[in-house]
Amino acid sequence: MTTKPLGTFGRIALRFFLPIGIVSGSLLVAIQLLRPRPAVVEGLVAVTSIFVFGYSLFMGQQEARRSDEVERAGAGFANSNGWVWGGFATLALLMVPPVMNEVVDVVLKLPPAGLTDMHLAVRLGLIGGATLVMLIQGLAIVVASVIWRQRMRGS
Amino acid sequence: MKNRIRVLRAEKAWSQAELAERVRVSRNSINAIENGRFDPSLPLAFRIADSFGLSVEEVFDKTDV
Repeated sequence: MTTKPLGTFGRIALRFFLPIGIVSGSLLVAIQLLRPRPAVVEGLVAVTSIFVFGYSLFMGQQEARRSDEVERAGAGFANSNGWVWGGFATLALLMVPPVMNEVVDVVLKLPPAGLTDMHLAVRLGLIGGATLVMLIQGLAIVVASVIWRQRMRGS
Repeated sequence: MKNRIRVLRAEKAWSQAELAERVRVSRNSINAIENGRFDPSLPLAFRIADSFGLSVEEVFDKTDV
């Protein structure tokens, strides 16, 4: 258990967001370098998504072990509400035409110029979309966690 | 649920952090319980009462329950 909120956030930032950020950043660089090989890109995106999901579950279990009942109740509040808020936020975001158009443009640029494999582009879009949903849900969980902490402090 | 934790802590000259360490929770958790923002489980309520050498009814006010 921790006695300093800043210490908790610092620990989570270092142990969770830093590895996720490094892996996701490396994926973006790899996508740019490996654009002539879309199958490899697709595989990397899938592996990265699985890593992000699996590592999130692992870190969640690690944090649950260190938590007391108030912190576990807060985690339950954050997870249950964050998943729902994040899901709806992603849907709402994708319904805004400029956002959806931008996402489609990014996906269409992934296969090398001249390649007409739209099946591959759709697959990449689906995997990217699933990753986007998880990222926004993760952010929503952080927001819900902050709301819980503010409620417990009485402000 | 109202309680007398703040008063009892003052009588013992314990900080929230000291009480938190005695009952094995975080200081923020003690703050939340003390301010009535979170109702503790029975085991935690008993640990808090035991740390003051009192019964659960003497620490927590059940009139609002």
